Amino acid sequence: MNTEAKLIKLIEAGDEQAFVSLVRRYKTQVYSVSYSILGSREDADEISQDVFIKVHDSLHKFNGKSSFSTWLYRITVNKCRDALRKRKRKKEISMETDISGQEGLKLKDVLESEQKSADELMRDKELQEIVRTAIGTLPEKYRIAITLKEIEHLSYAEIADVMKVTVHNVKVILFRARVKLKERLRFLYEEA
Amino acid sequence: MTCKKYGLLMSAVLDGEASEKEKNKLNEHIAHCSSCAKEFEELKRVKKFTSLRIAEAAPDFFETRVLQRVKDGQASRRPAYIKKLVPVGVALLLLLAGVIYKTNIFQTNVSGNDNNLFVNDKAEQNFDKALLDLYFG
Repeated sequence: MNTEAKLIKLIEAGDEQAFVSLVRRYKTQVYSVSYSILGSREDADEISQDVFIKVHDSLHKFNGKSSFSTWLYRITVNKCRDALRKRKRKKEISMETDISGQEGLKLKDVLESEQKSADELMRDKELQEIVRTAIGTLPEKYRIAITLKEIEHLSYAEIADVMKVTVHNVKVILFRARVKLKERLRFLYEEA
Repeated sequence: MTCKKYGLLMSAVLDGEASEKEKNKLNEHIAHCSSCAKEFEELKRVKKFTSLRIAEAAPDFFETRVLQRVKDGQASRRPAYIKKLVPVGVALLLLLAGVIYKTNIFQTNVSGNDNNLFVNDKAEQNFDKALLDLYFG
């Protein structure tokens, strides 16, 4: 029996410490995916907590058909989708959204900027923030697929399993997401 | 195969999800299709930028907060019959406390009078007086 299976058994028997170990083991994955999809650290924190509470309460439903991490990603993605739906009333991340709270620096300014070279941007974390924000402007399913591929390095089959679509759909979604990103990040690679 | 379909293949090649045969097919195509060759280069750069992204660390005390929320949730999810029994239990305890106080069941019987084992007249009178004072001043 692997460590994961042992932890699951212990948690089902009411072992709190085993649950803490499980959270410690997967918190970075869950938080990273949530943050990438939701684009807000505060929301990612709350949703990640919700994910682990759901895991705790539904562990008996985990049938082992897919791997535990796939099951966990599925819960994470579903929780993020729910959060995005609830957020509909609020303003979605848009082309006017500030990047990292930098006053006056809007995404469209950065994307349209011809002043900064890619090398300059590379020097700090700004590039990562630009890419993150550009991903944040993608439609929900593109954002989820790109996150699972580029941050979590899942295979097409695993992404298909998490998103409950076919492998061909994953291929199409990722291609379309990259075409959109290509336009939004053009100023970076034209100067790179 | 159309150029549009080669686009899908490009993405799969970049993700390491294409077979050797498919890779060769793409290479043959871009060797004589300049627009697809340009598209492939651009997609490669996008892939490079997006793969720069790294995992984010969860906030401090994350596990502690999750565990606390699990415990809070368990407390609020106690079975309904237990919730209903709580006031009944409190009422029974109060009644029992009243009986004990009224009968002075734990008070030592110093008089040695067996007939007065459970009822202390003096204490009862004091209790009644205190109760009357409380209600009528």
